[in-house]
Formats: sequence, structure tokens, C-alpha cells
Amino acid sequence: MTVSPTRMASKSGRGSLSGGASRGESPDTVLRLEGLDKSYGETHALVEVDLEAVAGEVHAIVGENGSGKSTLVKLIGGIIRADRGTIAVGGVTIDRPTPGRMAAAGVAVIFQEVLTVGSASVVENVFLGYDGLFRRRMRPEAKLQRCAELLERLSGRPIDPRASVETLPLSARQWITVARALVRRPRILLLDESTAALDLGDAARLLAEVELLKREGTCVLLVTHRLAELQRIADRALVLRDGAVAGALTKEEMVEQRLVELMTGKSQSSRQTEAVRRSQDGGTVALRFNGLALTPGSTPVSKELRHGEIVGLAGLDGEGQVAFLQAAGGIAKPHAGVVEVVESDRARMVSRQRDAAELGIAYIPGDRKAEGILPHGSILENFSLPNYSDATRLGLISRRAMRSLMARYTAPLKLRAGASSDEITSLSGGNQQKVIIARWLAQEPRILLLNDPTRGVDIVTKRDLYASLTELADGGAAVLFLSTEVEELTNICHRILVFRRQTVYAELAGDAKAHDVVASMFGVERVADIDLAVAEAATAVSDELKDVL
Amino acid sequence: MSAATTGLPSAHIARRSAAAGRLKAAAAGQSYAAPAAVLLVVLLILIALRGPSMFTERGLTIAASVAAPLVLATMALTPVAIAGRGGIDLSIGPLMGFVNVTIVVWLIGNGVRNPVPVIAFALALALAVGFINGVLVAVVRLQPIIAALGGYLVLSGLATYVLPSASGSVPSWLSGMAGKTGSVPTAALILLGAFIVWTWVSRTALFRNIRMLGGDERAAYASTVAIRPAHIAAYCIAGLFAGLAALMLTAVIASGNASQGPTYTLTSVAALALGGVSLAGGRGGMLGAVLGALDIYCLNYVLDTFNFGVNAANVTQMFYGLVLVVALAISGATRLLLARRHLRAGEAR
Amino acid sequence: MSAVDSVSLMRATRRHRSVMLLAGSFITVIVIGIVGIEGFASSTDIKSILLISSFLGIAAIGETLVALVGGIDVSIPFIITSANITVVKLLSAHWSAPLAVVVVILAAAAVGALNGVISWGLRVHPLLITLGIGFALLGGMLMFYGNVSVLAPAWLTKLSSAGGTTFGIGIPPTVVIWLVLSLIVIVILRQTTFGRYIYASGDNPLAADRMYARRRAVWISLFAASGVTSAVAGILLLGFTGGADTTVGEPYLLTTIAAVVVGGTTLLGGRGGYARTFVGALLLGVLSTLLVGFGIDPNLQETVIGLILLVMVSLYARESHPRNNV
Repeated sequence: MTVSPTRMASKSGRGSLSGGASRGESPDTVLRLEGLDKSYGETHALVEVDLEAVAGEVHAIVGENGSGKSTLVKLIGGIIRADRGTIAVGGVTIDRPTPGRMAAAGVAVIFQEVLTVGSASVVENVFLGYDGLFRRRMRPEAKLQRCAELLERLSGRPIDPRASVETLPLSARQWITVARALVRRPRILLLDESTAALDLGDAARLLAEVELLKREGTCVLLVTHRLAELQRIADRALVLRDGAVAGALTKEEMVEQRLVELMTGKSQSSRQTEAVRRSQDGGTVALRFNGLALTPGSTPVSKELRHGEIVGLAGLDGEGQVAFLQAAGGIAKPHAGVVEVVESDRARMVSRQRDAAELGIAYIPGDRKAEGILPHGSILENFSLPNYSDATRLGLISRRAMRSLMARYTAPLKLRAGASSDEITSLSGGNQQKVIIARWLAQEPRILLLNDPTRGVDIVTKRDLYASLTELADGGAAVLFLSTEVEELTNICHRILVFRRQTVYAELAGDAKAHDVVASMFGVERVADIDLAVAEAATAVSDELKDVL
Repeated sequence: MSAATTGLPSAHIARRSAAAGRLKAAAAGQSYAAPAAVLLVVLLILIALRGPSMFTERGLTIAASVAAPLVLATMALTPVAIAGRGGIDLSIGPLMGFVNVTIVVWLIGNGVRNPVPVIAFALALALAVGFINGVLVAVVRLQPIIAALGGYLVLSGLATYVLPSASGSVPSWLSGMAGKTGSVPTAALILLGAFIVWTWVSRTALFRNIRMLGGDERAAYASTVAIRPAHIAAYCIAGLFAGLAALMLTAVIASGNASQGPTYTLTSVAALALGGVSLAGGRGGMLGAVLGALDIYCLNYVLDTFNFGVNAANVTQMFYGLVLVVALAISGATRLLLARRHLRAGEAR
Repeated sequence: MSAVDSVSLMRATRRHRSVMLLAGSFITVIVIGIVGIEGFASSTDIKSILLISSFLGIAAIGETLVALVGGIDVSIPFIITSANITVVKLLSAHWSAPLAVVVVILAAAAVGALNGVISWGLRVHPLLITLGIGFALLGGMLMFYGNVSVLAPAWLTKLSSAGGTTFGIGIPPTVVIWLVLSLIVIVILRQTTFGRYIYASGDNPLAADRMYARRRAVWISLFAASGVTSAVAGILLLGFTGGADTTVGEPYLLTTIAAVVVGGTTLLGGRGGYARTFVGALLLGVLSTLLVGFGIDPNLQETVIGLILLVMVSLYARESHPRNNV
């Protein structure tokens, strides 16, 4: 009975071709940002950003980590307010934006983090914030029906609207956030890396939905780092670098080289970090994985890691590489199988994190905020916590000894910091990461596990880190290096394990080409097939949708 | 639990007998209160065996009247607990005491004996205090437990200042609230009324907003829920129930007594916990609070039937504690087991 | 260079704002007392302030410790009373004094550890579990003991009276015990690995786990420590009141939390410390003397303290808005 929002819009037939490549001032301009400026303390997160988006287009916002994308998303969503500049929707400037005011103006944002209320039901989450504070805008029965229909259409499978959200997998929760945005029938829809929590098929479904919305006249803003996705679907792209607009591209200009140049401010060839990998002279086995099954039903993995070797771990999000790394560190228990540290005369099992520490394993976390830093601690404190045993006399900590220990381990990483008693949060992300890495290097580990340590870290810091890793490996350490940047794996690793479906899908030599690694991440032969796979899935979905229409 | 994603097609789900679906959802939504309900049944059986005089007209009238302030106080704690951020309003007890002494001293002491102004004053005063509490928590953003602590000190001081020692009397209509209307205990009618009001409140959009706020404040805020007004509203609802609790307290003690109110603080928190309402927010409801409070009352009643003499109060306190610990242990263990099962189901998927 | 200095100075000022505020209000209260009340700075007044603050300060050690890991302990008043009456009972059963004290303290440690074990193991909010254990403990004790009107022995009275001396110096021994305990706690928190584990556990639990901070052991031992300090306070209070008292612990339910909060230790964990609670306890002690000195209705004292608490906390211990975390 109830007609879904997008259907309604399509009947009004708002210009399906009005957007496209139109540029400059346009009568269809629905969103105009002028001179948006935002600082956090001493960090200038966004510098005088202008943007104009029209109805019926997909307008991408791209940039490297820390380029100001997420600040821009929060500003458009009304979560935070700009220090200067205005946001106008449909020609009306929004005064003192809040999430409520932006939504009332017709803006819906799907945030990168999947924000759901775990204790509530699916339907309550889809209609979260839809009702007024006191007034209900739709009857409960109508909500249930709309919710069930919309989720089934979006995800392609039925999701019980009465189910408790905390029992659902991440992808279902991501669909809930998409549905939450769509039930409001937004004029402007902003998706912030929304395909990240979805697998390839689901991502294609979402992109097909975006196409549909665009044809119906919605202005879609798309924040993404998947270039293939961008080139296929976006009409225009705004490139951010260091918080400022580095350029605006039309569809024809959106070629990889141009995008990368604008994002990094360098021509692509000079950006390539030189290979620092050295030949590896067959060390003894350091770590052995024996029949390791990450989840029930996944193919067991049996691998060895040798002294002096850097082994890269690659894979799309959630394909098992993180679980593999954490199993090696004794942090997450695998479903079956064992991890053993091989010593000269015997092998010792890693079953708890503390065993791992005693066996000379150090795990360097990737998500700094979640598992890396103590946000209220000083720089010294953040370096010191696991290392106090090296600087304790009669049970009391010697801060002086700690400081010299920290100096010794941070110097090679070229840490730039003020006083060691300053709070860790006074440092930039890259420097925070250096403190964390130094913390673990101070343990003198024989086996080093790194979980995407270069996320949000500048290129210079990265080079320093590569040099340190290579040096450690030359000194006989064994390194497992998980990264989401394929290029850095092909630069420094001796071997690369590519994960897919919770197991090792392929093992590639370190000098493999980056695009071969990417291809195996997607489970195809050549990288060109990826777009094909995405396109095929998307076409199938579009056809399915046309049938519904 | 994987039925959630692999179950019936959506059209079927939506068309599924609406009544049955709602019933099932309601039952699932109230399962948190099951231990409290079981305990109540056990206690009622014990009472029937040891002190069946409770099940006479007179016994029920006394029981309903004496239990009413605690039940209402526990109900007052509920919306604040559901609104999250570890909200536990310890100041409910002193607020009851403050309302009690101000009614007796300021109104009745000055000849205002008519029910309308007295009831209106009691509810308005409690509502105002709830509002201030709400502003402190939602706008100033004090941690709820600290705001409650400050409120406790302020209110209990003010109450003893207004009436340093127990005295005063109340008009007959007020003490009559601890009596009977026809052959039905008046307190039971008031509780029934309060429960009906709550049932209505819990079906409003406002309450859903409060629950979502308690479940995940960030998600609620980012999805345009007006978190400040919603949180303040939770405190205002709490205030109204506390006002009602204070009126019932005044009816039962038929005088002003600043030291009576605060005794309800820890007991009502115990009742709330017994009723399975989580301090983590977003979960639980009034049913649990009411059952928890009735458990506490019945426990007290059962223990009274064993002549402990001078020790009665101590024995009661010990049993409050033991029952609370056991109840928490059972619900905690159940939650962990369920979580583990979910985890396994998640892996299998 | 000077620009850098001023920046880090600003940052330091912001970070230490709560310390400055605490020190400022403490000095203000004392100045008001000296100016407004004759004989405020007399040695008898100072001694009684110190004594009152000592009991509160010792009882608040445990509350501070559990607050640093984001916990709360409401069993403190119940343990204070239980320790208070148990010692008397043991002494009147002709136990030797040291044995009675040691046994009571060990028993309190066990009760505290039980709080910790249950709240950790079953993920139950410590407020609820400590309340339940507190009720059960004190109710059981009183039921078991029956009549508790027993006088405190003379040696205990000497420890806790305002006129008491320590090795001939005119300071009550209780105050000296408080100072020594404070020093030990502050050193442990600042200068030992265990102390740093406490802060890490409260600041970022997941990061603390990654750094082997033994969070479970920390949690349980802090609740045990809270039991110990409550018991010490309860035993010392015995000498102060002159005999066993079944309500002696009651005021410490709220005032221990107040001392922690006024001092500026957040109940959310990771920030604060005992030096702050030390000043907080002193501030509350001075304040109550001051209010009496100014002739404020004793019933309103609680109200004034409540208001001051709310104002101070509003100035420096507000929670962050969710907009900062999306």
C-alpha cells in the first residue's frame, strides 16, 4: 500500500538528466557551501571550502586520510558548526545548523561509523529521529510495513523489523542506516564511505540505489576512497587536500592519475616510495600457524613466518586478515588450530596475550583511538606503560630513566613533540603513532605484528617506519605487516598473504605488482575484472529494480 | 537468532497477524522482568502460608498503602535509568521528604487543606525539581550520579530545615488515601492509575525518544533526536512520580517527617535492580520497577511473620542485600550466556 | 620559541584548571574563615577540622581508587559500621587488640574483593552489587550481634580524640595515620607500575589490555583496598565516638563520593588522584566548621555543601557532548 519515498519522487519526474555534467550556477543548485572554515585547537581542519551541488547528480568528495573529508561531512550533517562560512540548502541559508535543522531542510547523512541503537528493534532504528519529540508522524503498523519493504528491497533479503539490532551482522546494520536516511525522502543524501561495511555484492546494490536516487532527482554526495566506485558513478568530484579544495573535476577529468595528483599534491611517479626491501636470506622459522581456522567452516591456514622476513597481510575489509593477526598476538582466539612460537629446541603455543608478550611478540594496533592511546595520559606515559619494568628501582618508577628510554626509541622514528609531559593528544596523528610504535619497539620484540600502522600517517613518517621495519627484519625479527595500502606491501614485504572469505586466498611474492594483489583481494584474475564484477552485480540489481518499477 | 535475517519474506512478516506479533514483541520486551515476577510468586505463596491475613480486605488495604510510596519511588527512578548515561536518581528519596514537609508545614500548617492546591503543589514542586535535575544533566552535562548526589544533599538539608523534627497533621482526605474507596484500597487505585498513565507514556513518541537516547546517545543525536529536551522530559516524568510517591508517603505517615523520605533512596535502587532495569540505559520498563518494589515489600512482609523481635530491621536489611545480590548474579549470568550464544551464532553466520 | 612556550603554558593552564580551581576555593574558604570567625585558626579548631577530615579522607581513599577505574563503591558506609562494631565485639570477647584489628581488616578486604569479583565477573554495575553486599553484610552483622552497646577501649579513644598526641607531638594519631596512608596511596598511584595500570584501565580499557595492564586484577584489588580503608576508618571512628555505633557509617555514603568529586576525580575513570581527594576532604571539613562558625542553621549545612558541589563540578567535570564523538 505504502509507496516508498523514492518511488514517489520518481513519479514527479524531476529532471532525470538535469544534473550530469552541468557546472557553475544552476537553477537546480540544492546545496551551496561558501567559505566553510573549521579549526580544532591548532589544527586547521577545513580551509575556506566552497561546494555547489545540483539536483540529480552524484557529487563525490575525495581526499586522503586527514584531508578534512570527515569534518566536511559533520558540518553538512549539522553535527558541528563551522567557525566561518555558510551552508545553504535550496537557496535558504541554514542558521546555526543542528542535525535536526539540516534534516528538516532535506539533508540526510549516512555516517561512516555504523550508528545504531543496539538495544532497540530494527524498525525503531530505521525510524530513529523520524517522529517529533512528542508527536508520532506515522502509525506503528505503517512503520513496520515500510521498514520491512525498504530493507528487503535494499539488501535483497528479508530482515525482521522486530528483531533486536544487536543480534544482526554489520552489513544488516549498515542497511538500517541507509534505510533510516531514505525514509526521510531527502533532497540531499550524503554517504560517507558507506560501502566499507558491505561486501562486493551489497556495495553494488547500494551503488545501484544511488543511481536510482539520482535519476529521481536526489542530489547525492558520495565520500569514498574506492576509485573504481568513483569513476563509475560520480558526475563530479571535489578533491580535498590539507583541509582545502585542491580541485573540482568533471566526469571526463576523473582519471586515476589526475585524482591522485590532486589528492597528494604531487605527480604520481614521485609519490612512489622507493622499494626498501632487501633480499631475505632464509632465516629459521619464528612463528608457525597450524591448521588455523578463523571461523567455523573457513579453510584452515597453515603457514610459517621466518626470522628476518616481512610478510604482508592484505584483503578487503573483514576478510579475516585482522583475525589472523590478532590470533598471532593471542588477542583473539581462532575457531580452531594453534599459533606457535618456534624456539631453538621447542615450540610454545600462543593462547593468551600475556603468553605472546613473554614469547617476544609485540602487537602494534592500528586504530589509535580505540586500542592505541591513553587519551588523558602524557606522551611519556603513553610510551611507558608496558615498559616500566625497565625503569623501576625498588618498585618505584624512575621517570628520568623512562625519558631516556623513550628518547632512544623515538629518535630513529624522528618524533616531533614538545615536552614529554604534554598530553598525547597534543600531537598530530602521525606523531601519536610514532609514540605507539616506539612503545612496542622498546620491548625488543622478536616477532612484530602490525595492524595497519600507517593509517592517517603522512608520507615522511611512513618512510621512517619502513626503514625501521627493514632494519628490524635485518636484525632477525619476524614481521607480520597488515596494511590497507597495497603499495606499501609490495614495497617492503618479502611475501604477501591475501585474505578472502576468512582464509588465505593467495600467497604472492613480495615483488608482485600492486594490481595483482588487488585482483586477488577481489578474487579475480586481473584488476580489470574488478570493475566488470562490480558492474555485473550492479546491472543485475538494476534490472531487478526495474522489474519492481 | 539468525532467524532475523533468514526468516520469512518481508511481505509475510508485515502481514503476519498483527495482534500475535505485538503480543510476542511485548512478551519479549518484558522478559527482563521475569526473575522479579518469579520471585513475587514465590513470596506470595510464602505469605499465603505464613501470614494469610494479608489477603483480607484490611490486610490488602494496609499492604497497598505501605507498598505504594516505594512502588511509586521505584517507578520514578525508571525513566531516568532508561534515559542512560548511568542515570540513577539518588535524590528521589530526599525529594519525597522535601515535598512531604513542605505540604505539611507550608500549606496545611497555613490552613490550605483543600485537595486541589495541595496535590497541585506537590506535583508541581516535584516536577520543578525534576526539571532542574534534567537541566543539570542534559544542558550543563553533569554526570547524572553527581547531579543526583548534589540534589540529595540540597534537598535533605532543606527538608530538615523546613521541619527539623517530625510533627504536624494532615487533613482526613489525605490520610484517607491510605484507606479504602468502597471496598477497594485507595492506594491500589492510585497505583493502578499511575500504571495506566505510565503505560500511556511508554507508548508515546517521547518515551521512544528517551529509550533511544538511553540506548545510544550518539546515534540518537546524529539521527536528529532532540536529546536535551528528551532527557529533561525523562527527569520531569520522574519528578511527577516522585510527587505522587510523596503524597502517598504523607498519607501513610499522616504527618511531616524529613527523615522518612531519604530511607526510600537505597531501597528503591535495590527494587529497581531487582526489577531488572539496567543502569546501562535504553532497556527495561515500569513493569520491572513495579515488580521489584513489590518484591521488596513482600519480602519485608514475609520476614515480619517470623518474629525476629528487635532484630527484625536487620534481618530485613540482610535479606534485601542477599536477594539483590542473587538476583543480580542470576541476571548477569543469563546475560553473559545469551551473549556467548549470540557470538557463536554470529560466527556460524 | 616564546610562541611555543606560551602555547604549552596555555595548554598546561587548561589541563590544570581544575587543580587551580580546587586550590583557589580551598584558600578562599580558609581566608573567609580567618577573616569572618574569631579563633578560626586556633589550634583546637584546626585539630578538630583535621580530625573530621581524617575520617572522611581515609574512607574516601577507597572511593577514589575505584573511581579511577570508573567504578563506584556504596558499600563503604556498611563496611565502616560493620568494622566498627565487630572490633568492639572481638575485644569484648577478649581477643588481643592487634589480632582483632588485623582480622577485621582482612575480613573487610575479603568483602571488598567479593564486590570486585562479582561486579567484574558478571558485568553487573558496581553501584548495585556493592549496595546489595553492603545491605547483606551489615544486616547480617547486626542480626548476629544483637546488642552492641559496648564502650571503646581506652587505647582506641586515645588514637582518635582531638586532644590525642603522637609521640608527644600535639597531633591526634588519627591525623598522622591519615597523612601516612595518603602518602602511600599517592606514591603508589604515581610511582608504581600498579598505579599506572590503574590510570590506564580507567582511561582506555582496550588500550590497557593491549599493554598487559591486568585490568581484572586491578579492578578486584581496588575494591579490596576500598574495603580495607573503610575498615580502618570504622575502627578509628570507634575511638572518636567512644563506643560501637550502628549508624556510624551512614554519613560516609555521600560524603566520600562528594570528597572525590569536589577534588576533581571523575567518576568515569582515568583522571584525578588521591592528592585531589585529600584536598577535597579537607575542604569539606573546613567548610562544615565554617558554616557552624557563621551560625548557619545546621540543617542547611548539607544544602550549602550540595550547592557548592554542584557549582564546582559544573565548572570542571562536565561530560562531553555527543557531537564531539560522532
